[in-house]
Amino acid sequence: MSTQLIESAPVTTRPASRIRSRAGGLAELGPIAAFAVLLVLFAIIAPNFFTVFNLTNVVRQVSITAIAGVGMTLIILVRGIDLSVGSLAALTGSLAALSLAADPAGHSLGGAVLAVLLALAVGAVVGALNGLLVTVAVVPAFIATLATMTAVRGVALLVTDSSPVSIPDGPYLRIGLGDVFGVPIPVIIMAVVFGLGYLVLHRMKIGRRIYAVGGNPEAARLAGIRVNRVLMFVYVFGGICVAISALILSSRLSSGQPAGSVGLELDVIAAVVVGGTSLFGGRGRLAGTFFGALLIGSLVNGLQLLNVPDYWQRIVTGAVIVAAVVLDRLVRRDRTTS
Amino acid sequence: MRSITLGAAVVAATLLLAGCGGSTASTVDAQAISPNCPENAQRIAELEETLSKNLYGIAAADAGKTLNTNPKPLPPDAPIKITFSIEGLSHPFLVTQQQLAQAKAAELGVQLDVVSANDDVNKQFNDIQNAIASGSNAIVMMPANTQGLNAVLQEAQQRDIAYSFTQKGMLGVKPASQALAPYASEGKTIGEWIVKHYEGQPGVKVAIISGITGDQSSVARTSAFELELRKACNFEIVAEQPGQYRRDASAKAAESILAAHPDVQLIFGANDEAALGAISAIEASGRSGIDVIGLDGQKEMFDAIAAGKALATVRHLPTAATAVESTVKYLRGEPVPAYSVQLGELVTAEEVRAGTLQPAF
Amino acid sequence: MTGTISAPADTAFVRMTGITKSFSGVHALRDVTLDVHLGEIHALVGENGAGKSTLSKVLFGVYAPDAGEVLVDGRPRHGGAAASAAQGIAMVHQELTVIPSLSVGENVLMGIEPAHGWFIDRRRLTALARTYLERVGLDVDPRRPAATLSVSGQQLVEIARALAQDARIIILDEPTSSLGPEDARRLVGLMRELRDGGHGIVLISHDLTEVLEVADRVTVLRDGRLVASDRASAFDEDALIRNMIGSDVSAVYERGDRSAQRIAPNGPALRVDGLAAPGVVSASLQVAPGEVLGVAGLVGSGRSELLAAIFGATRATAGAMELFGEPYRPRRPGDAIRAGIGLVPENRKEQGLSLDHSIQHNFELAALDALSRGPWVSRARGAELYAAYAKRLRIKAPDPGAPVATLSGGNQQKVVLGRVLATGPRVLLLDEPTRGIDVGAKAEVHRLIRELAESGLAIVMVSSVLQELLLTCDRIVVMRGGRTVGELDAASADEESVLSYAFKG
Repeated sequence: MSTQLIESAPVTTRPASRIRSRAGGLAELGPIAAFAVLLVLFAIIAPNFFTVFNLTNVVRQVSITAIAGVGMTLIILVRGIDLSVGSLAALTGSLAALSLAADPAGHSLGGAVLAVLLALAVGAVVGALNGLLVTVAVVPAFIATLATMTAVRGVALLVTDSSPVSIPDGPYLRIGLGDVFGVPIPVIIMAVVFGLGYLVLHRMKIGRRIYAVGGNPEAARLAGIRVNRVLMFVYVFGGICVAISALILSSRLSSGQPAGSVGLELDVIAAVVVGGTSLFGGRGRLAGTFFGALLIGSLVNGLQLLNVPDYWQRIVTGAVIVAAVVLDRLVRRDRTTS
Repeated sequence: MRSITLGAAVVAATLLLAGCGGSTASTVDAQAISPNCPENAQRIAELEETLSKNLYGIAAADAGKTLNTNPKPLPPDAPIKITFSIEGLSHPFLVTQQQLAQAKAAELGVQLDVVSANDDVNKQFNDIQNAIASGSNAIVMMPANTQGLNAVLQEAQQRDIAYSFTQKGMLGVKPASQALAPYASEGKTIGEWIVKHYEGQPGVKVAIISGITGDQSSVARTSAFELELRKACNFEIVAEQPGQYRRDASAKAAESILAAHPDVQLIFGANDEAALGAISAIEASGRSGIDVIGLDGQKEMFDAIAAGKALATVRHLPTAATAVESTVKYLRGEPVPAYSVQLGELVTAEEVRAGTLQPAF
Repeated sequence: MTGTISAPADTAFVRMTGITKSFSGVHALRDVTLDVHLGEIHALVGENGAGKSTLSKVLFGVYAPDAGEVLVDGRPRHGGAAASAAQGIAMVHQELTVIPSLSVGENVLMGIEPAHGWFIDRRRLTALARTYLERVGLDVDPRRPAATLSVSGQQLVEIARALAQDARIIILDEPTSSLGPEDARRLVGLMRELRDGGHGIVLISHDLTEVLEVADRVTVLRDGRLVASDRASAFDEDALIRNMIGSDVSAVYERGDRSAQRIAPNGPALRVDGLAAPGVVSASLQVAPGEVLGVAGLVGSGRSELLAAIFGATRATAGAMELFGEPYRPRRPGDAIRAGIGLVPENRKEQGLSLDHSIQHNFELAALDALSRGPWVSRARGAELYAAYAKRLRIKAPDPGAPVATLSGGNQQKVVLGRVLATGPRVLLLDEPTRGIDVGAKAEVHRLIRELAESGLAIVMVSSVLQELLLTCDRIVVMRGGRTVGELDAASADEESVLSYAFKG
């Protein structure tokens, strides 16, 4: 019956590229505009800000929150939240470090690959645990991931005996510190993860389902979508993104820090929200997250170059987060009331 | 600077650095570990092993001996800009550190920028990167963690930017100078005093509230303290719980200790906040007759000692001024000591009443 | 075009003149004039998007007009919606604003709770609330949690709140659309009482019969302009419809030509036998390919719940189902879709659409598998499929990339219908397919339903509008208290016979 309908209708196809959500297009405007303003401002007033060395540093520094932000964007799109990011980064980084330190071949390429795979696997497992708590045990995401945040931190301290684990010299350290033709490897990894995230969200079925579940879970369910599978997917994906951030982090710090990355989840959530993703789900884009992370990262950098005292840095950062979100809201208001 | 403490010498002996030990008595002491209680021998060996790998013991052994000189000194009248990267600013001691550094910088006529890592190594990594980008000549650091900053410090070194440590240091890097806190010595000092205080009493039950889990300063303090007690044989360590150097967390730890071991006689806090947390837990439980000691010598601990709620503490002295001074000298081309250690004084009710000592912060 | 205004202007409590309002450059209202007198029921009618809601929201202070003047009791209206109560204007929204966790009494007296200093005086609150509840004819304990009230009860609570705030003008937005016939009748009675008690009522409604029955004056809007305003007695339904859609559509309610499409020789498409599920006690029915089966019953009789169970949205606890002779037991909606069953749910906004997302994406949702190669969605195929259905269903949307929220109710409903059809169902379940869509679109939906049946689909349709069922269906089953209690031949049934089953079983 449906095939009959299709065949009988003349094909009046629009170019596929034109079919995209207007809501998404506008959502990017806020963070990009704010970032541009900040960039120009700091380039004028902050000494040494607009140098290749400094800007490279900023992007390197931002890569950690931005990569974890890809997973968090997906999670927030389905109306979830992941508070276990910091703990999971500590655990996966520490486990990678332990595997490198324990392995006699820890300084070899094989040892590095093993450590990377271990970290990614553990990220996926903890993500799956979050997903199971949310879907099968029907615990609200905030509580579920608060619980894993606490428990995973405990595991990280347990397996390391709560001391930092130092990583022997070798290819693993290049993940965070190396570069390819002058492009820092963390930046390359970040580009790959964002590219992957884009494909998932905008080219794959699962992406449509993520937006649908976030936009209206009941409608998605009645359209035949298995909502729990979508939730599982985003939490596992999120866990893997955190593990990738942890690889860069531990490699930069040449050590696994079981007590480190406390509160990383809040930086990540801030980047996602400043990037225009709605905490109510269904609305947001990865590009926003990228510029959100970049905005916060370059703000801290610029304030330090200006020698703004620490307390004031925090106050200004908080104010900018609020301002970015309000700006985004204003940009949107025009659309939603029409 | 005080002479080398016994604790440091123990470390020195273990490191087979005898021969250059400052005091022969300490060497004898170190080798005389054949306690009357063989059951403690294994634990003593463990503690010594721990301390031998601890930076603070090593630092004390070398204090004032090795000298570093800047191979590329600045011209005498060149302006100097130093970044002070501090682990955080959420504790009065840290604020004191900041103020001392700023005062010393002002006195020496150099620019000092302060950045706070908010207890996050990765933030400190970024802070130091940003300091390098901002064109600082040197970085004075109070690291949030003893591991994790090697890569960024190498980056500094490649750009001929000197760096030095205050209070906390790191192994495996080449700083201009390290003005470190005497954590191990402090633990040993109060341990020795406790041994004397309880002399003759059998089976004294002791609980320890350590600091931040895995933190080297906490390990140094608690290990050096426990070592003295183990050697004395008449102590029993019934519990050790982390209190994160914070009063609330320490009070919780003390509550569970009191519940599990109602017969505990002495609680040692790895800092005064831990001790003060233990005091409030003891008061809340309505118990009395439990002794409490701490380390740091902060204002409230002086009050607690005066009120008879605590027995003793050791003054912990901030070293940021020394670090800034050494760093400036180094930049100008003067030789500076690789390590300097400054042990504060033991404080008991006697000193508090006499008013001879003021709180460290 | 503009009708004459009967009452003398100086007695109007509310005078809105020259009201113009636009959103993002699109005019929602253009130079609209409206008077509301005390002691009258003034109905606002028009298709969805004609500007009724916008006009009432300007009066209530949600929007400030771009141009024009609003006089309330001779003085310019001031402040936003929060200042309305003080100026004697209250609004009962289509989406009710009763707070379920508070008591009925607290809801009635929200914001004006009797108090001693900082503490609420519970005794006085209960007593005072009771007097207002009596005035609206709601006999419930004011201390009861509001969550335990039915939709009509909550609506009455909102009206009681308006009275408690001493409102002179009460705006009612689609007050009867979600009520069963009995509750709707009670509400109409209450509106009359309020009018006779000296209140002015602004009634926004799609139910033209109701409008003509209850309203004293009617104002018709079309595309943001006032097209007619006169005494209700000056209109009949055809005249209203003509004004609303701007052309003569006397054929709108013509009964479709239903050839004798009864149970086909090769058996029913769907058979439901003694089905029990959440909200359904025991339901049996069968529907053949090419047939439209209506399901009638009061609100809460288990009609929607029955469709949910057939669709696998809830789990059946007893009974059996057969699909084209094969046993059928769905565990989730995906099973139903794969088996060839489609559901157009009751509430478009809550169950059907993700309003912020594009028309295209909403449309593609259920048929993603068919549009994809492996995990990859083919945008070209999606666009093709949408174009086909947009044409077939006559979806009026300039840009499939625009948020679906920008469409009118009728077009939104068509997007949902198209999405369901795109999965290739053999059995189609329709739950209130014409709710909240305007007259012209309703007729079109009815026509589509007949067309789909004629193309061989078996259709089960739930509706609260009996006339609609009688017009569109071949047979009607009636539900009461979770059971199917009777079956009628639509050709010979009338409203009375259906209602007698619905009320008495």
